[in-house]
Amino acid sequence: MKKINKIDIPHLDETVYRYTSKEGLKIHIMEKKGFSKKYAFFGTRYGSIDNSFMVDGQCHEMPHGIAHFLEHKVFEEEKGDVFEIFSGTGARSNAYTSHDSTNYLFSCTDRFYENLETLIGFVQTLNIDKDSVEKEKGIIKQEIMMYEDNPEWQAYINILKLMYSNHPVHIDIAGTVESIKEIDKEKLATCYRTFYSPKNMVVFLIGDIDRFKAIDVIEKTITEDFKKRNSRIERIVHEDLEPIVKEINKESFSIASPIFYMGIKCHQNSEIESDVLKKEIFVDIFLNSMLGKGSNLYNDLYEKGMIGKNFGYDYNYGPAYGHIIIGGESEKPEETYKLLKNAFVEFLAKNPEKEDFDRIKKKLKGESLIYLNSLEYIANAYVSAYHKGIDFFNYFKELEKFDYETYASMQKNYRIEGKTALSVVYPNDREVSL
Amino acid sequence: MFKGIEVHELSPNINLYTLKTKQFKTDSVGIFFERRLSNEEASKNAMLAAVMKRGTQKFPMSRDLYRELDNLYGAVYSSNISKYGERQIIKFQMQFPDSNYIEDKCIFEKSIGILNEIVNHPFKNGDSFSEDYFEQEKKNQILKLENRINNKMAYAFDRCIEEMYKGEPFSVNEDGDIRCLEDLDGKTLYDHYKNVLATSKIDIFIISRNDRNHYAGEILESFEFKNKKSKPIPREKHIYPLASPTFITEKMDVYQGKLVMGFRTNIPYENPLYRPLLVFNEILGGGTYSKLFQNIRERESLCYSIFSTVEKFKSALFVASGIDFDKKDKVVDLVQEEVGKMKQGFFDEEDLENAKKSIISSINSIKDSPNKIMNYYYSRILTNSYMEAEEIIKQFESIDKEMVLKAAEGIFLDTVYFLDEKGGLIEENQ
Repeated sequence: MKKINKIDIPHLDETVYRYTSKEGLKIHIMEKKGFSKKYAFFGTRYGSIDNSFMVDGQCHEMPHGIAHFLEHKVFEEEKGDVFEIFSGTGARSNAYTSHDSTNYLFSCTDRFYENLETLIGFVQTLNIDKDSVEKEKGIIKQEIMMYEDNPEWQAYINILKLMYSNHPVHIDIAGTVESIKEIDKEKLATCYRTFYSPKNMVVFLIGDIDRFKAIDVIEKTITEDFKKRNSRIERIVHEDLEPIVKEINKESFSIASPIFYMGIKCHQNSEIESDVLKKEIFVDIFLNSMLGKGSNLYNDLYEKGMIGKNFGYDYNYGPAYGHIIIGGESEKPEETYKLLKNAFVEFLAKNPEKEDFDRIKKKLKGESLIYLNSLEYIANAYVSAYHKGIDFFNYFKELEKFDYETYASMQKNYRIEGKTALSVVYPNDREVSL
Repeated sequence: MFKGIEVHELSPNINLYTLKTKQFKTDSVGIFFERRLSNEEASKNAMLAAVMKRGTQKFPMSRDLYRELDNLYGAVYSSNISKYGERQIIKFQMQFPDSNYIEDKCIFEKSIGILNEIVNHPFKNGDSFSEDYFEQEKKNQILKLENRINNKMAYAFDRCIEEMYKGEPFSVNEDGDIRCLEDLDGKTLYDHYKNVLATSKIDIFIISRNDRNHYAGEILESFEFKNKKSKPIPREKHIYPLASPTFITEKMDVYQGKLVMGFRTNIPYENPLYRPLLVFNEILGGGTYSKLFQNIRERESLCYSIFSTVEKFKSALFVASGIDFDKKDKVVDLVQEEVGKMKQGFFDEEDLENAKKSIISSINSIKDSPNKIMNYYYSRILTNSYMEAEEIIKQFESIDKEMVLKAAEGIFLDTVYFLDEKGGLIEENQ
């Protein structure tokens, strides 16, 4: 008899089933009746920041971009390209590498269990030779060049470089045209055997699925070789203790009006889930009340043309890093930055308005219901939180509990001085003083 | 009409479509105004979508409007412009949590009330929109147009369409154009607003967990359209004589060349061969197992991204890819070679079946998202095709190789647009 844990999230009307295989592979399933599409994710906690690690007493320092390179190569199978096998059932397959994880997925409306077998099967094997590794370098070079032409991406990479110099989060996930040259078959194989192991991986399934059948298929598809992978991984974390590296960076690009990103470093120093979530909720409420469309500041900046239509803000965190990024278009990015910096200090010095707190809490609650319409959103968010050691649905539980007093005391203790940076990309014809 | 969707003719020009489904935790409402795409009107419509977001008579300031939405549990409101062939659609949409999941039991009525405010009672001064709001949005709209160059691939795509349809309404950008924007003010825009309310065909969609059919009677009162008449919008030109391709190269500071190739197919969407054409496109460049992806990316390592897509209203097929500058001729030749080989029948039963499955899977998954449901049915209404999804799927299932080859017979390359490194404009007609 298999032990499947059933976790109900009553006010959201959702249920998650959890199962752990003998070898330690986690399988999480959400049965959503009535939806046509089904999604399956198979992910490993191995991303672009995991370049230095110890395994079996040996220390490894890998070239940047290797996790992403490996993602491309895992797709290659002896019996033909995985893309081909999936498209034989009308399924769509994909994979992506983030700072802290690599995930393989498919979506389909038909022949789900067959596709599940394919997914679990191919991720467990790596078939590469020297030629195929060399050929992939051409494709990945074009992928890197595609991002080189993206001014938002460049401004984004630059803001990370202003905030971090040791922590690899500031390096492009795909690496650089130079760094990928150092990647070879042996290095790929080492990373693969280390990180593609049961205890380091998770399967997440969502859709109109039978959980018993799905677990059966997965257990039957797990190979002996996969089960044997049991390395104790020690990640070597390069912390950035200094607040920021440099405050301002300017570049020019063939664009029409400047793009800016303001970064605020806010390191997460607790590993306790509820602390991490409280901080996330605090930042969400704080950013929404200060910069949301219902705020005075947003309206003031917008009416003065200091920010444009695509203004946005986001909070991102992971192992030994955490930052808020605010930005968009602006005619006067440096002035906007100064204004924002002062506004932050002023805002934090005041007692928060209870009315604002209640309004934003309502907004966050309602927004989550809108997001939960999409199975794809749930799958992405669930898996991404999982790799950070967070239960996605606990965010909503913490949000319910989060009260005004907690918020007010967190706001009182929050400081941004010395932790902010600005990355600007100006149009080519403007003078850039460096 | 479509299974599950009820239609209510509110007036000769206004239809309400309601769908009751327990699948979503939210309710969605959309109001779509249909306009003919033209250079004279495009900028005005784009400005309407922008200015009407800014405030209503009850909520004159954007801030207060958005606070009201926050208090409605983060109700999402959007107004924007879409291009469907030579139609420009002004869309006002709202999505909000269903009362089942929150404390507010009147959220539906309140949300409809806000949408009504936005559409029928925008903030104004006398017979003009607020000049302040107008000027701010005009500036932003101009910026948006200037910023088209930020996304190099999308820019190359737009430019290919502009060149391929020079002088036709389809070449008009749905965001308007800078010269036309300069001539507008709050007063002219308000006059246009009144004209849009009076002369547009209006389609309203409600997707809800609850039965909203009683709204059929009430909706004309909730929404105070003073709609009189609308001229039917003519079908786009979609048949073109065979011509040798035009090559356009533009230069910009880019790190990677952006290639867009425009083919004409001469298969209108009313033609039974249109669905086989979609299958042709899927095999050619629809996904990761397509001919273009497998041969130009996986075999030749010439690109990371390459795909093809069909433009329904103009019967065109586009291929787009990001490549090294010096590989342009090679990739253009290879793409033509792949199209040519497919026209000669160099694809197998498996390719055909996979393509059909992929398309059928997309059709099946439309019902998973309220936005997809609205957009899909709206597009069907615009093209007067009321066939049930099941029937469409059956038609796709019955497509054979012969039909695909027949659909592909008339495909020819018309325009090759390339965004190259640095410099001015070169036009090399061959």
